Amino acid sequence: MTERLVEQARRGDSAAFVALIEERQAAMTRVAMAILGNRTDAEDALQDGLTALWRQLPRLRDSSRFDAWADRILVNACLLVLRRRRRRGVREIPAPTGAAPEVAPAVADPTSIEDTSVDRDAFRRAFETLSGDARALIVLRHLEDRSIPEIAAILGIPDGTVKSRLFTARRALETALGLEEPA
Amino acid sequence: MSLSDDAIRRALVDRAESIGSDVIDLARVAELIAARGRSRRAPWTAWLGLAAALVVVAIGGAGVLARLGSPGESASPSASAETSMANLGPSPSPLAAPSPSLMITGCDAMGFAPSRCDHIVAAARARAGDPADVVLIVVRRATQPDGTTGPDVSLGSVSIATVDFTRSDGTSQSVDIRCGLLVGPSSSDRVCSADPQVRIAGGVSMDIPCGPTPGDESHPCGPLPPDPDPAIVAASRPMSVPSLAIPLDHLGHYEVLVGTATIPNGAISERTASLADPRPTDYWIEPYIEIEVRPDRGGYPLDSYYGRRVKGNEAVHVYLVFDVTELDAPTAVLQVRDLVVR
Repeated sequence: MTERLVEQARRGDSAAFVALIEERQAAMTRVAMAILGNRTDAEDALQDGLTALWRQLPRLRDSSRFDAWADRILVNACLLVLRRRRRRGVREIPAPTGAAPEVAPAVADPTSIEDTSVDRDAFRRAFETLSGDARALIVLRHLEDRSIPEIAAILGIPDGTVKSRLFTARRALETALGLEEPA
Repeated sequence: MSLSDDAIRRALVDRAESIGSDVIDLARVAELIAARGRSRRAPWTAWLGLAAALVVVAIGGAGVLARLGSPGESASPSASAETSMANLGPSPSPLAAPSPSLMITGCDAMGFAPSRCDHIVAAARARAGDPADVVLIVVRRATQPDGTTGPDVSLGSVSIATVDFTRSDGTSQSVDIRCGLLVGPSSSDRVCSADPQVRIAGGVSMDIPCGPTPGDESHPCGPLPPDPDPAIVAASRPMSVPSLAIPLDHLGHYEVLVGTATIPNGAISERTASLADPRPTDYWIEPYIEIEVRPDRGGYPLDSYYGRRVKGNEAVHVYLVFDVTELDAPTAVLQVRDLVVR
């Protein structure tokens, strides 16, 4: 079914393209929001991603790979938004030298993190210390339940690289949450 | 202690759902995008239909759809669109590198250094709406309205170059890059300055907060507040940081807490710092690094000797506030020297 829609959309059938997006809109929105963390950025990435999908669809040679290809375009759109947008989110960095700061640390006290749940603000701050690539990896793996080979196909990197980067990303997230000592 | 997969998933779901109750109608966005066809030379009727749809959607309050009408997507039945706008916004990052088959020419003849040329082309590309399938970019002198070439000065800005984008199908688009007439030697604008530098914004305003209105001599200023009491000055705690290394690991906004100080009577008299390297190659900061002196009791940051007087010493936190607009390495370090607030 999907492959037939992809073929039709490739040939310029806008209804088929809309049908393809309709099937995926919840997941696409979820991924963009999870990576970017705010609606404005997510909207920009989704719009850019959809435009790129439509324009580049004729170049997709294998219709069966549409999902991975579409995810790759969306993730790239998210990463571009992260790079381009001059975001105004506040983030404090402890000064390495000079007078000692006398204010509360930027990251919430990890002791407030219960066994299996994470403080929302602490997670947000910690997650936003991660690079775009690291965010995408964690979102694809832990939110979208994608397998390692699927993520490798989406990001265009080998399976082993996915594993090592995922490990590093998780470690960075745990460190930012104060659950791990910095390496 | 480590995070469980389930904890990460729930936190991500929570993050993703913070988008709000009104879900983005992506299918509708897709419909509008596809309605334009893949060719940029859509017939007028198609563009009119899209424009009407955008108006309806904009009235309906769906911001994402309203933004579809970006400059690069503007409706034009012509094969060559002329775009002209002053370079007022921040310089875009040249990270969106052109494909290897793309030819860029003309910068040498214009006398632009390669790095400046990159930023001019990147700025033009952004202004043009990131045109696709470009095979040739020509940077040339601007053409004046009378057909001659040369600087076109108007409304306080000057055209420094015209950038032509030629697509693989032969169509083209031109973008006029304009700069302010006065671009200081230490400007951080990499499009407009021949020697751009990262800047620090500090200093203290000594302007008298009251001045006679011309022609109204009947309302003279009151007496100026006195200088702070020497005893209060002696009890104050200025901040002096000889060297500060700030790791830069992401693009975007930074607010770095440097330390605390107390300012006698709130009369700030010095707010200075310098950079070890004002011309970094692995990051860029625009428009400047602001030394913000924030009173603990709230209110505007201190930047004026007369602006805010208090009894005793004013406790402040000192921040460096800036935006990293380009980061070419996973981590870079901003080296600040001789930061003084008193």
